[in-house]
Amino acid sequence: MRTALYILFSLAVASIIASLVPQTKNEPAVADRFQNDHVLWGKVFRVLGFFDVFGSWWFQGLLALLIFVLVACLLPRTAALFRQRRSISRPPRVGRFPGSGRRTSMETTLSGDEAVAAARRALRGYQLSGVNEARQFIGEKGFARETGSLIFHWSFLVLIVGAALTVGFGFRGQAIIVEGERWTEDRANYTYYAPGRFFADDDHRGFVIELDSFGVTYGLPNGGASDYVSHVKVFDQGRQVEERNIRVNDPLVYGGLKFYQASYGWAPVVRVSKGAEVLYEGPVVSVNRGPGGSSEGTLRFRGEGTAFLLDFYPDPILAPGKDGPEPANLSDVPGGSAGRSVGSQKAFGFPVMVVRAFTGAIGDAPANVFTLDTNGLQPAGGDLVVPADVALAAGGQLKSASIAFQGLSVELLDLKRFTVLAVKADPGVPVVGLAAALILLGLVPSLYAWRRRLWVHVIERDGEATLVELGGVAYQRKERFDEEFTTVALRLRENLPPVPEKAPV
Amino acid sequence: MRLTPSLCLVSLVSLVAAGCGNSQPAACGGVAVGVSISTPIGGRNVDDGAAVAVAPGRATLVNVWGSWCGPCRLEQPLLTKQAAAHPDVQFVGVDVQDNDAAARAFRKEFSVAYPSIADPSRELAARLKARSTPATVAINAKGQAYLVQSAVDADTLNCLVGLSRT
Repeated sequence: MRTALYILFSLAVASIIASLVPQTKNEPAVADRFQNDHVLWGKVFRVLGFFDVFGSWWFQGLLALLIFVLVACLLPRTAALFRQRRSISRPPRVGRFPGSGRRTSMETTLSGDEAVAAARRALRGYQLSGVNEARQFIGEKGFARETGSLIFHWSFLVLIVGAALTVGFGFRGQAIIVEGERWTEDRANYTYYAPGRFFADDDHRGFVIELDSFGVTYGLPNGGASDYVSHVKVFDQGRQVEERNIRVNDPLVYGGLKFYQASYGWAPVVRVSKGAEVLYEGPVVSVNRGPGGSSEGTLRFRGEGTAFLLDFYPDPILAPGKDGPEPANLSDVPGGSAGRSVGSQKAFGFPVMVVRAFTGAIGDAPANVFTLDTNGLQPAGGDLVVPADVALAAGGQLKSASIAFQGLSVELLDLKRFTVLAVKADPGVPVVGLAAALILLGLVPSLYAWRRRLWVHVIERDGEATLVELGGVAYQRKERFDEEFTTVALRLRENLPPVPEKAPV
Repeated sequence: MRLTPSLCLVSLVSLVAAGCGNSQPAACGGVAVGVSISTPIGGRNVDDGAAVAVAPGRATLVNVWGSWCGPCRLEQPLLTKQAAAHPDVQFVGVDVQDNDAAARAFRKEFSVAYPSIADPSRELAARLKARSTPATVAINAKGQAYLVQSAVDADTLNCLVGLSRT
């Protein structure tokens, strides 16, 4: 069992690592960012499997070892308990009391059989054996200790079964929904998709989530978000079935899936035109980190041989850069630092978007729509675009509301948020819950119950009073047993009419 | 040894159950898979917002696409050509995870004459069991449907047109 404890300790350490290092299955973007920001540690952690601790070979090896050790230990113990429980009801073999433990004896006027009956009454609360031909029997108490201990340990196996159910039949995914848009629960709509080995495509439910609105409360002392909430409606078979807020630790539960509030970001609404023809008008989900604290999205126009990297700064200021002043973001609140100065620079007080154009063969191969591989593409300039209302307020002199590259003009029309929901199906959770309940159920008696055994031997003597001997031993809590033994002995005395004392001659 | 009959029974049941899962056979060299589509196909036209409804009981080819999707560009010239060549088959596009302006520019670039239904959240695509983009579904007059979960080449597309006429 010591080996099992070492393994459990190792698993606990692994869980701490999984809490500290971003896990690819839960936060793919954060894990990628960590590897980009900490190249050396990223490599080390990747080799060690720290970005997917629970899926790593060493974690699963530890689990397998734990199962083996538990089973190897628990099977003989369980068999022994059943043997003990069965044997206690049988009469003991005729013999002497063990030498250890407490002993007392008393005489009574009762016959042997009557004394046996009286003694059995006195040992109420004990599980009693049958009586052998020498009028001996045993009483036992405290089996709950071993039973509880076994339940406690077997429950860990149940726990592992629950976890295996989740790994095999569960599901992990990530959904990105822009304010005002709808998202269907189907394989192709997940931006991250990690089904269990036995989770089939047909297990998707096809219901729809509409993100009505997304709200952020900036209540932290450092200006960070203290609360963020997605207000969603759920539609199933074309009918609205639910409307609620999703917050951190307050997920939406529907169709066997849980939708947790994981993250959020900006999706600036952009219009790209070629002359009078609009080529694109809609939000651009900016999930990547761009330069100067911006968030970055992409647009590809394969027919035009042009692609854009769009770096969005909700609250910019100009900061020194390699090639002169560059925008840097101060906060997540659009224009939230209006009036603030850093050095000689004043915060813009309004959001801006830096558009970087690339030309060349964009390619028709399947590609990640959130990122743009600029290798092999030629930079075609970059400029800064502001919302139309800001440009108007500045009299058209400060910044432009529309910029043009390669015959395409780019406008920043509006700001929208997108929400990131971590999606989980955990079919093993009820089993894990049952295991947790069993662990508690087993733990209490295994800690507080204690096992003790009493022996009674009734000896009928010719021409003399019947002698009743009582002996006992405790396997735990010996000091408490002394007290209990005395109580039982007194009760036995009360049940056995004593032999009258002879009057002095 | 006593387990052997039970194992045989379990294996037999599994085989029968697996067989029941695909009620329709694979076709077009195993590329197209039979699927069951129970809901009518219709929605908003990406060009003008008007209603588009697929007439049941006719040979139909539904192409799931998006202007953002590279492989969709590769197969679109084939689809455009086949739609013109087979007026007896109704071609319909389902434009997924897209915005109308981008979709219209794509359709103009490839001179797509048949209508496309806007499906930004992939609700319709999910009902067609199309789990990748592009995907193409051939539906015959009896309502039997065959799905290809990838870009189609000329042979596959010809085969799908043939299936839609069966």
